[in-house]
Amino acid sequence: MFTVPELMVEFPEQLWLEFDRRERSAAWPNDGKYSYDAARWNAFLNRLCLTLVIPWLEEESGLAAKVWPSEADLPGIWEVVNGTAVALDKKRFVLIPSEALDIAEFCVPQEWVDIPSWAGDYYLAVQVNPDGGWLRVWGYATHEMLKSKGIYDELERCYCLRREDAIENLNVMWVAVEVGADERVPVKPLPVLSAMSAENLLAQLSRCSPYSPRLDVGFEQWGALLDSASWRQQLYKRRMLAVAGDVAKDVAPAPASTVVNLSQWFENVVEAGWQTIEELFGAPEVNLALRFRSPGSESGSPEAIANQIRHIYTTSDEGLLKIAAQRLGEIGKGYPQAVEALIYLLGKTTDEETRWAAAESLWKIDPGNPASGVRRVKDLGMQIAGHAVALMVAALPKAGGKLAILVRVYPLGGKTSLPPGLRLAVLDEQGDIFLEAQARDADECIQLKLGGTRGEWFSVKVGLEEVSVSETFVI
Amino acid sequence: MPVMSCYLPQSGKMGCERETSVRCTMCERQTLIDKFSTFAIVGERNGSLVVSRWVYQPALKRNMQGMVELDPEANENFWALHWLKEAVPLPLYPPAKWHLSAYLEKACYWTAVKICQQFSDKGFNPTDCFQIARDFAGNPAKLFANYDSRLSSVQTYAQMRLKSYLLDELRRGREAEKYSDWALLRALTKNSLENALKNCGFKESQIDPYRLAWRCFTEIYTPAAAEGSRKLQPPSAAQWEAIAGRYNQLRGQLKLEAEVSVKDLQNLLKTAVDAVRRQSKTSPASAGSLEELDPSMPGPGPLIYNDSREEDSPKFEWERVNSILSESFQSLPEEIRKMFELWLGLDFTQKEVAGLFCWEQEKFSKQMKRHGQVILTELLKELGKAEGNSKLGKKSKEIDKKGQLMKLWLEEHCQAPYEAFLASSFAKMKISVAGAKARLAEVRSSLREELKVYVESRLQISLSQLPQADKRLGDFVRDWSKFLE
Repeated sequence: MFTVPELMVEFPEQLWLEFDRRERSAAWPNDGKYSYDAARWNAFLNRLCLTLVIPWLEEESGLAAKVWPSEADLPGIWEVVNGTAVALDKKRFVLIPSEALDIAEFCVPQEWVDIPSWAGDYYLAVQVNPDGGWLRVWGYATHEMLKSKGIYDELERCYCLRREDAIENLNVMWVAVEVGADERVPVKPLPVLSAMSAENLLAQLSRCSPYSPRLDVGFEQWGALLDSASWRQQLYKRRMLAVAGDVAKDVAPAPASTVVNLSQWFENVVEAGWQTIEELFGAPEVNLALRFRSPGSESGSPEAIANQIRHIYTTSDEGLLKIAAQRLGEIGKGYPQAVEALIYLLGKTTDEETRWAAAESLWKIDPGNPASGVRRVKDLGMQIAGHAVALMVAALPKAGGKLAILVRVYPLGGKTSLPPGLRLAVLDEQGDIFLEAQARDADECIQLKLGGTRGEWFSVKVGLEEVSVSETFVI
Repeated sequence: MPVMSCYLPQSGKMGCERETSVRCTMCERQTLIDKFSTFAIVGERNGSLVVSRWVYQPALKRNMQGMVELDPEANENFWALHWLKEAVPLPLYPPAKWHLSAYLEKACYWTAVKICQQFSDKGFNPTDCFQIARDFAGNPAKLFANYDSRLSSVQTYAQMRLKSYLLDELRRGREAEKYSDWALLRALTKNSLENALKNCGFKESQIDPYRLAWRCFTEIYTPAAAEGSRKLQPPSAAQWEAIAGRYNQLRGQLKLEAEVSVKDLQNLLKTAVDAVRRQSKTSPASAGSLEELDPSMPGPGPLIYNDSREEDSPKFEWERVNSILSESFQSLPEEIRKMFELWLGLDFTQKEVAGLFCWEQEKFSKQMKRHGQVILTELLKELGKAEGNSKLGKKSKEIDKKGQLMKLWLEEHCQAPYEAFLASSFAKMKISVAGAKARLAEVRSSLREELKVYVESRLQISLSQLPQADKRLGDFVRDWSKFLE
């Protein structure tokens, strides 16, 4: 085959570097540095690249190269993402190794492009051939080129540039640096995570997995987590602890599906992935079922409010009570008497419809009131045949230490209705269906109500045609 | 350099159904119509690639005939550019791509011949090389993605790109042979996997399961040591379970409804590897799938003359560039200028030039790069000033284009004195073109000797220590005297 010197002559504008067996072995990470095989391999390729390319960067630029953010941070990055950033003065170069034999495309993980603190100026496409003992930087792209010409791959969350859209002449990069070219474009800021949502994410993403958890939550959340140095370090530490724990217990690394403990929600102990409504939907909008119908909560006249409150305290007609409760949710905001009346109704009614109408109104006019029980929502991602949906579970204490439970499915991703035919089912401890609902055309949500006592199990299944996801709960 | 050999087929034995065969008395195609409507049937003789004949595609021929009648004055490069514009970026006129493919057959042939010759010790199969080049030439959107008609002719540019592509493809193919199936899977790009499957007849809509299986495999299964990644062994049972589990977890994203077992997953990967391996073994050279051409193809659009120079006042820009570059080049150290003349002007290799000046090749290569960067930076700064841009906010893409312009300028500038010398030497011979044609070898040999003396005196070097010098100068003389062929 071609020797490296032959290739250097044929591709003089690219960079070819050879390494020997010793350099190759030295790049292999120490035991205990990574929580799974693929991360170890990723670290190996990146280390090899870094060791060989840094002297070239320094020689070409005449500047000292500095690993970003620091040498100590590298394992935390390589545990979850491919790529290494190096700073030369004010410019950041991101090395992206690939072991592919062809150079038809250059793919850069989204983290290096869309996390504002991670973004670079220049991205080097590095082809590594570990057994062949060589690597080459076959071209580069700028931040702007990736954003404008790169094809975004949703499955991999990376920007892919076709070979012909990259620049193969590396001399051009140094001239661009020399003349002070501005090659970055602004990226959208990422949301600021609350400590609690970060905690939830960390709990979910720290579970042992034989692959990177980078695709397990939405990019905004993932990016926001990595954006913070301390959470990134936390993620790395916890993943390492998790695998150490697993090894100690000698348990298979595949994560067992967790059982959600509803009673503990009342003590604020919540499983990873279960967010508050505000966290998931980004606004303290409470009555999601009605959010598409009513343009916003109008406040009613004091007379109208007083009227509804009077109904609640006087009538025993469950039909009227339900209407009164719903009406207060729409017009009662800012009236403590309305809140009191709803709490009273929650304690008094034995009708499930009235109970949930009162709870929903309370969520709306006094979010966070302890009388309205607990309520969490989980983004099920696109697992249901590509439809983004969320599962909400709410629980209210009832007489006799029982819980009233509401499960509901909402559309996500900007949709206002669920895919027709979407099924929601509640299964008992034996796995038999005992409640089921199905979305029709233009249904904004579907829901089921049930009750239970402490220690009982049930599971909820959301599915469309052959695809479904399940969550198991214990009361 | 070999002459393109020809072979006259025995009469009556040319089994050619739809295509009409051209009797190949001359090896290069002579007329514009031939150049844009015939395809090569290639074979090998004594290990060299030969074009045994050129075959017409009748519809293309009719079409080209009509076109040439529209403008009998238009030259080869005009038509090449014309068809290129009709073919990319949008295929405005479907037959354009085929006219262009026919035209590029020559570039494919020479690329294959040159590579097989240059790397004769590697034992490449010339027919395979030709076919790989032809496959790539059949994708003008890729081949001409960064083409600038002001900088080079279609043929020259295609030949340069084809060479680099072919070298990479040969490297990839040889490398792939050393890989185990599992290692090969890890060494693919999404693009190469998809292409391999498509070449095996898979439809776009059928590719998703393979893509996802491959993705889950590479995401989870990696070599467990620094050495031996080429001979990667199959995953363990637990790893297979994990990969299949990951597939089933992600399949919703691609709307794949069927859950896969480990066995299913292995089958998907097996098919993918087979497709990739099959693609590495190229099919025998053929005249392409000309059958796809509709004989009743639509008439082409009107000829457009004024858009071949899209950019405003290129001549003005070229003059400015010329004066800036001349000045920067002149300010280089004398020794460096000499090196550029030998390297870019007379096409000596880096190693040869470095040797002549007793430099390490590495030092030479670095110095040339460094000076190239300095000249380019200077060019950008001066152009910026001229354009009234105090800010040098150029982007890489524009700098890359200026870099190509600079490289072309350097080549032309470094060749110019030697071409001028040959022209005057030829004139001094007082020999007619016809006379020179008759004694071509003799004329060339004499010009080469004169050139050698000139180079030695101009650059104040001795070429006697460099055995390859005669070959380089001979090639230079041959290229310059192409008009005598």
